[in-house]
Amino acid sequence: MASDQLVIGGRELTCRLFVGTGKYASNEQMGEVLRWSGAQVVTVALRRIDLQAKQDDILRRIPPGVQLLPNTAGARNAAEAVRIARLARAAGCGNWVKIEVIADNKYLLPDGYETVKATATLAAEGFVVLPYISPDLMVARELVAAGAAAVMPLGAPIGSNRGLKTKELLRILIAEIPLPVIVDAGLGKPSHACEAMEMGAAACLVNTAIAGAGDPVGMAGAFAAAVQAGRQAYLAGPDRESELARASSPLTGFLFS
Amino acid sequence: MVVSVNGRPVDVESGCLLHDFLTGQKVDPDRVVVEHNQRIVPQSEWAGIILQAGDVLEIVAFVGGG
Repeated sequence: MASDQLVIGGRELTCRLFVGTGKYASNEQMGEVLRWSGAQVVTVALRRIDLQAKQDDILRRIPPGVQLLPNTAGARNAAEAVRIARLARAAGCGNWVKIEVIADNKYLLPDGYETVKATATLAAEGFVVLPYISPDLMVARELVAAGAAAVMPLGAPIGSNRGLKTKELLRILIAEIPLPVIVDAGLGKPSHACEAMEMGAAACLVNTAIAGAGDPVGMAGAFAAAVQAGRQAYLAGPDRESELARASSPLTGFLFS
Repeated sequence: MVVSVNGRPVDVESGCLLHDFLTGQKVDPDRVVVEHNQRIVPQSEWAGIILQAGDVLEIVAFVGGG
């Protein structure tokens, strides 16, 4: 197959599975998952340190060369997201940021308006901005204008493992938005990720479904294979669907006619 | 005097340098980012900042997240 790279923020990626680093049983396990997934982009969060407790440095477990994608989880408005993004950049791990502005604790749905504001500010400061959004065409178009490097619409609410509940809206974003569309949140099984890739998503971001699996390392490999299969199918161009049967064997030359 | 550290009041000696406070708390300097009164302070400037009563420090680091 010809080279099929995804370019974001000037960086060429061959692996279209992005992996989150939350909710693992241990940092060792998280490191194993990252290795087996082959992920080249991994998300992290930024939090206050606990002065009383000795904490393991998560960065030591992330394979070298991997692009860190700090999120702004915890931000409830654009100003808070911008503040978190600047702190993350000051940590010296690059200028990528996943904008996540959430003011709704029940469904963890993102605030599109505040997300657009934060994206405009941070893109102007030279950040590579990947905003987490509901799959809303108008918000996505505003993000394009604001200078986003990609858009990351949800398949289903964060951590719900329910799959591509927003499929029809995702289809519209993939058709209309001239940026990589990365399905983030809600993907529960490799088949969900595979379907997103078959539809033309540029990549998938998975965390809960891997971290919560009986064997997270095994599940990371399964997601990686599914994303690759889906991408290959998309490039190959799936055949049309048909209401009626279409015989696969010739309809002439029967033995019994 | 009292300064706010990650949202909690902490007693520090007056005239304490930011660098000395962080070292005293055994903060790994390569792991954290420090904000002093909402301004991000690079490690190279820690030794030049004298803490004042009522200062607000945020000391953050990367953790697992999605």
